[in-house]
Amino acid sequence: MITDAAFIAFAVLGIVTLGATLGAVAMRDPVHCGLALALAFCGVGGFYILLGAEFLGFIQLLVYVGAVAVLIMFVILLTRRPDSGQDTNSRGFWSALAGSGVALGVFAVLAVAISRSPSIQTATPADPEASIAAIGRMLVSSHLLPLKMIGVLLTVALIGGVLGAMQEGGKLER
Amino acid sequence: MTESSPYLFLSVLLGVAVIFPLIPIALARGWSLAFTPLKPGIEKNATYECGIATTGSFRVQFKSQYYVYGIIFLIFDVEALFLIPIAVAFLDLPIGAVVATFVFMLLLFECLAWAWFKGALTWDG
Amino acid sequence: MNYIEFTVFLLPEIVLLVTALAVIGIDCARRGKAATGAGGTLASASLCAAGILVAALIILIMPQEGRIAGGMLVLDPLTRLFKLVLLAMTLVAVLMLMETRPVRHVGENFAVMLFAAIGMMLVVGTEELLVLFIGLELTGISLYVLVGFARSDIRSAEAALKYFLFGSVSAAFLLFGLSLIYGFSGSTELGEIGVAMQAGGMEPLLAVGLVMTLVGFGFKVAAVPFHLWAPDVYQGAPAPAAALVASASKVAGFFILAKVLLLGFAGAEGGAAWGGFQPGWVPLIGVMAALSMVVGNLAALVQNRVRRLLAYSGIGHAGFMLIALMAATPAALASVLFYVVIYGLTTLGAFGVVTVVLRAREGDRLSDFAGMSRQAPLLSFSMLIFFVSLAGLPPLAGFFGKFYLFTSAMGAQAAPGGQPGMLWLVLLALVMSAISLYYYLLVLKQIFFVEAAEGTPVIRASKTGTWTCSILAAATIVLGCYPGILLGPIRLAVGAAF
Repeated sequence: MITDAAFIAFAVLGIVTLGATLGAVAMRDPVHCGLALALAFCGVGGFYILLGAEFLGFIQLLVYVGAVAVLIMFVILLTRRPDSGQDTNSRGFWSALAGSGVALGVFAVLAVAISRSPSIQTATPADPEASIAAIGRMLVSSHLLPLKMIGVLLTVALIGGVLGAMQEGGKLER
Repeated sequence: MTESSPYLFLSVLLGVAVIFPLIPIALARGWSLAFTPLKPGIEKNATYECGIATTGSFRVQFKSQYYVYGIIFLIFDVEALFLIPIAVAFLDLPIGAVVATFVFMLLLFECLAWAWFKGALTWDG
Repeated sequence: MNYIEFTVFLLPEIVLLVTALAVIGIDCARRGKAATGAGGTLASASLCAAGILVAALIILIMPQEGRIAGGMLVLDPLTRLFKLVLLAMTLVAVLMLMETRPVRHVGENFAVMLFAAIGMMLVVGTEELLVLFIGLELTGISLYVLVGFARSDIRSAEAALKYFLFGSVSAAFLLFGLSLIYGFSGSTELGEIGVAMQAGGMEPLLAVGLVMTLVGFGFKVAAVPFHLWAPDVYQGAPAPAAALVASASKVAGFFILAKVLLLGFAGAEGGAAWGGFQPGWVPLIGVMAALSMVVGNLAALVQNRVRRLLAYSGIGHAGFMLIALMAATPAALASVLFYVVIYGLTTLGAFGVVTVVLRAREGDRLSDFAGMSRQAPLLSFSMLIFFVSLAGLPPLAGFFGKFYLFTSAMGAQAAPGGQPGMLWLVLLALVMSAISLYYYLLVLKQIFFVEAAEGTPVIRASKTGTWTCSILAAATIVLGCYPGILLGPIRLAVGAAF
């Protein structure tokens, strides 16, 4: 159901998200890019909430804005070389043109595909039950295997991430 | 009233929260533009504007320890997110599901214990 | 939801998980003492090997049949057979890891290898998109970590970074494609997706989903044009990690690709015939197959390092297997699965020999293999078997693999309603096989006919290394003389599953 309020919210979120992602690739200072990316994550979270996937929206805010964006900022601050002019996000005109060309091409293909696909217009799949308690029940019954796999996946990710940041001698770098 | 009405209040608040700090920043900016013209120079842009030349690198290098903490936080953040819905539904779960949850948490504890043993949690300055 | 049944079904994976955690735990406990040295490596390796053997025993003596939670975990003869194959390949990689120079964090290195095995076993044993994706990610992340484990080696770090970047981008493509397919079919189960595709017909958004899914899988099986990571990873990674990437991960990748194509995309084949083009996945696979064969085999001709050569030849072999996937018949599927197992075993063996040479001579240039037949005759003979089998000469297993692959592809063309246009691809494949013989012989020439230069270190293989490689070579010979040992069960299992 598209109401005026929902439409306004959609428009505002769209402008903020698009502007922020554009800033994330176009701004000169990597720190600004990282911050713009965090704003874009917020915008995507807003979309999820607008679409009725509230749990997903809050997960997006918590994980992406709360943790991933912070991690990205850490990496930018860690890896930039002091005293060198290299920490700006400047690229040549042609690479920017090529990048925009690819992005526009992908967008055009997707737009055409969506507008020409009959099943998008006709059939909307039934909303799965999305209350938090229902998700919880599913996680420990029908979706128990994915839950366990994510537990193992995160274990490996932790081992890999921590070992990657450690030095050969076992001490942490710097 | 539409369905999105609980969020209407939130979005109004969000708008206020964004605009409110912007006003003093804009005021300060306008003030500086009007009354203190910009005259940058080598002396003025030096790190310590006190006449002594800076030696060496003046920027603080962040320790990669921050990154390790960031990673560990991210991992546990994601694991906690999976526990939230289980916690909400906890009261009407069968015993097998509770055991399954504890197995998941066991993996989480194992991560923590490993990071502890490896010294990833110790801050060596 | 029956939790007991769930646990019993997952028992092999649980055993591996417990083993991995135990390896990490023992390593942490030893940290107080001198954790470096051979003792830690030996303890971790034997624990890993024991865990793998127990898991394999469980699969062998507890033949479970069935599926839980809508195809998330499927146990049938086919998945059991491939879980065993993956376990065997992981076991060889573990033994190879024991042979290489010990690095820091030995326990974690072994444990992550087991985590990769868990991921691959789950990928093989599923018919559901969610488990499939998480399993691929689990495998992928474990492999990225393994590839970057030699931290003192800048090449290893470079390989890990490249593998990680390519892998995460392709995972994003895969996830996007899978989500479009889910949106189209309303189900994450491959069987139901197939039914929906047959009912719904082709439409643009579904085509986008198909293309993106194939991009993701193209990375996993290193098919052109998604192959760019392979040479650097094979070259830069520690040899056991590279061997695992080249063998087990490829077996799992081809297995699940075949399952997705034949079960899930059953209604969307399309056609690649000259003039009779129909949108679907068959033309896409056809293009990938032709490009992989040509680029892989021609690029392998000019390689100076054996690991890069193996990488490019692997790309070529992926092209051969993609041809038979296009045929989309159970017979062709059986031949692909047979071929990928043979390919995995021989590549594993070749990497085993490379590990020994690397350890002795600090390099894997063609000239580093000179005079090897005098110093390590058994190992050289094994290498001969592996390379001749990879080139596809009779009477070795590789010959029968190629034979069944090409005949089943031709059979699919001859069958009524089959795929026309396969003839050209098979002819191209034959030409490329002939070319591949040349670069394999280049390496063998160095081993058998070129004398080692003065002062080059002598290649001394350890007992474990020689035994492992010899057993793999013996398996290649036996499977060449009696291909039915492996092909029979695969055919039976495929017949039962499809």
